[in-house]
Amino acid sequence: MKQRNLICLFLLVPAFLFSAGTQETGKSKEVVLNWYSHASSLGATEQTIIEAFNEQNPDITVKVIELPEATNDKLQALLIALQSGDSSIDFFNADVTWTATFASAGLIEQLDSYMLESERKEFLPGTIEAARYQGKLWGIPFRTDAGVLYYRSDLLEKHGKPVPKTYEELFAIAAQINEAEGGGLYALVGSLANGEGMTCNAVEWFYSNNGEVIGSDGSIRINSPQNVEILSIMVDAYKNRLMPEGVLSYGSGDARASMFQGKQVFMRAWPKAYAMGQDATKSQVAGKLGVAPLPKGPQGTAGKSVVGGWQLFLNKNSKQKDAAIKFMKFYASEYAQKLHALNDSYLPARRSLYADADILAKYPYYSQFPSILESAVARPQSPYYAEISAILSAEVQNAMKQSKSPSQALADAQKAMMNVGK
Amino acid sequence: MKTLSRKQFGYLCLTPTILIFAIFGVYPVLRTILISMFRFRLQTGPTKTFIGLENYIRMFSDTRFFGALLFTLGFTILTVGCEVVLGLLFAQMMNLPIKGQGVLRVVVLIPWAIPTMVSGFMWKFMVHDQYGVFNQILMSTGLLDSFIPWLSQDGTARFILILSDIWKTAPYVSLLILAGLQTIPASLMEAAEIDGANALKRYFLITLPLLKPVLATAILFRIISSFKVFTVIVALTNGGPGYATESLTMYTMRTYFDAGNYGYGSALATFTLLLTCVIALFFTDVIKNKIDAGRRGTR
Repeated sequence: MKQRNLICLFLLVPAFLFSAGTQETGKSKEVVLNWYSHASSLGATEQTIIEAFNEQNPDITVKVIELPEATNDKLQALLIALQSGDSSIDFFNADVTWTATFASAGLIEQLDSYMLESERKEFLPGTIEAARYQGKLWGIPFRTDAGVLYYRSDLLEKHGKPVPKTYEELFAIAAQINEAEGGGLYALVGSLANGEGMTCNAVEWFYSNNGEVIGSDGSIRINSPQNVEILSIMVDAYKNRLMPEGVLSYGSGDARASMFQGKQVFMRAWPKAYAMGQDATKSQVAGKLGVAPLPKGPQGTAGKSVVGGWQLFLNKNSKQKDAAIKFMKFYASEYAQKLHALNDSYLPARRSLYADADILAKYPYYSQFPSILESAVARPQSPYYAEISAILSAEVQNAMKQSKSPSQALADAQKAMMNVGK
Repeated sequence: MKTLSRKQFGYLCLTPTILIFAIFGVYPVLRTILISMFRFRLQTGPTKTFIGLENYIRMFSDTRFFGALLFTLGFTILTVGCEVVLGLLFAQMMNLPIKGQGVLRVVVLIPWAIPTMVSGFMWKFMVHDQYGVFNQILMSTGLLDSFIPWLSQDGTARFILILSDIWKTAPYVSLLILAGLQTIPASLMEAAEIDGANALKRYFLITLPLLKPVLATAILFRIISSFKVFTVIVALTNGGPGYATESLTMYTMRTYFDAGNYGYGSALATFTLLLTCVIALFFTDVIKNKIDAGRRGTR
């Protein structure tokens, strides 16, 4: 008797699970879209946007399915699912560096016919550029990002120093302030731990000194005098303790911690650090932070920020492409991007929002971003991006920790990058 | 209905296990070995080109591979060596008839019970250059005049990884050894004592030889899992600085999943598998003897 009960239980549980699933989809002829996303602030903004979308499109249901926290885990999860031909994912959030990888593997749908040239013009050029691969458009950008320089406005003011325009100036100013303040201050910090953070910082150093990593013709150009020069400046700064001793193991949280504890004069970080730094419960420098464009190297024309950010990709195997496009465009609309900017301090990918009164009232420093973003550089665009980035990060670290000279490290990086994909 | 013989029934009962093992264990391994002989990349779509042993030949001119191999071997030898020595010590202590023996046995196990990722982050905090307790103690005792960037230098980063692994896993080894210690009959020890053997002699002539099968099992387990070290590295250094703490598993994962190089990644995985099998072979004799001894004992 007992045994029979147990068997019944085993049969009933899956039956319940499946019946719940069929009831939901069997209601009417409505379309259900699966969106693989990462929810911001507990997903509240995404839900608001979906509800607004449903007012106009009551026949389309959008289900948010969360991706893993770390960007690399997201990439792995999506690659595995899409390669197996999974059609249950309709569209998904994608990092700016993924375009070449997904497009070259034939896993996502081309969007040229869905996005008119006039529509694309409404976006910042860097965001559309990051969504392109081999002249075709593969993604719809909804959020951008760019590295910026944070400075201690109180310290610069107190010692009568300007916001630095070059890295040499930056280190000189910081050294003078440190001396006048009686020590204990580092000049610059960034997320230089091995990985994507190191890559972003290094790409910015190189391009800010008129260097390159991959040329527009696809050739590897990391081993250049400009790159060696700026890397040597950084190595010297690290050697002379102008950066924290442990900076080569710092993630973005560690870098922010050092700045927020008042131990830094300058920090390179993403714009979202600003809101955190103004929270007096988490930061000792609330109200003392300034944001400026990154400095340039001795041979550079301007400081260059790396473009970060997110876009939506459409799964090639999705069975509801038209409905998916409808939502994707809605999610990249002015309304949705403004909501994300106000709720989550995301940087909009649309030009017009940088003149939006509500956004500027909340974040006055956003007015600087159009010019920063206009000249920002994309990370190397290659289907083999992950490998290129890993080599770049490791070899720059080899130079920073002085186990190789800057010229040796970049020569080795050049050699290794030329073998990628073979 | 025909009744099954005892033997047939045994095999019948094993069928589900064998099936599951074949599907989830044998098939993936064989497929990995097969893929390792192809040029097969995510970026070039689903086409595979047969290239024989080229991926393996490439491995032997790959300096990053040798770096990872050497680091993994060094890590394995040092962690397992220290863990066994410490394990023997802890096991003896836990075997002493003292008050609070039960509490001691539980407390010793705590490091092992903490998830690797969590203990990794704990260590990361402790060795942080600015606010880590390591540097604070060294500074306040006057041994240092500037912070040591533990995770930003090759040597110290490796040292911290090894230390954290020993801290975490020595308790596990000690528990295995403790189980072995408890099977040694007290009468043997008493007899030896009466015959005039001192404590040291008793330990090296009776305890250690009798512990041999348990020790061999413990060492084998530890070598195999130490060889696959991954999580603690992700938590602490992510392979850095440079490639200084990149293990074989980490390099394999990065090649296979991050870079999408399935052919070469599979070759790296196959190499790790072969090496692990060779290590395991060294120990099978000892463990087999133990099983045989056990059988003789029950008959």
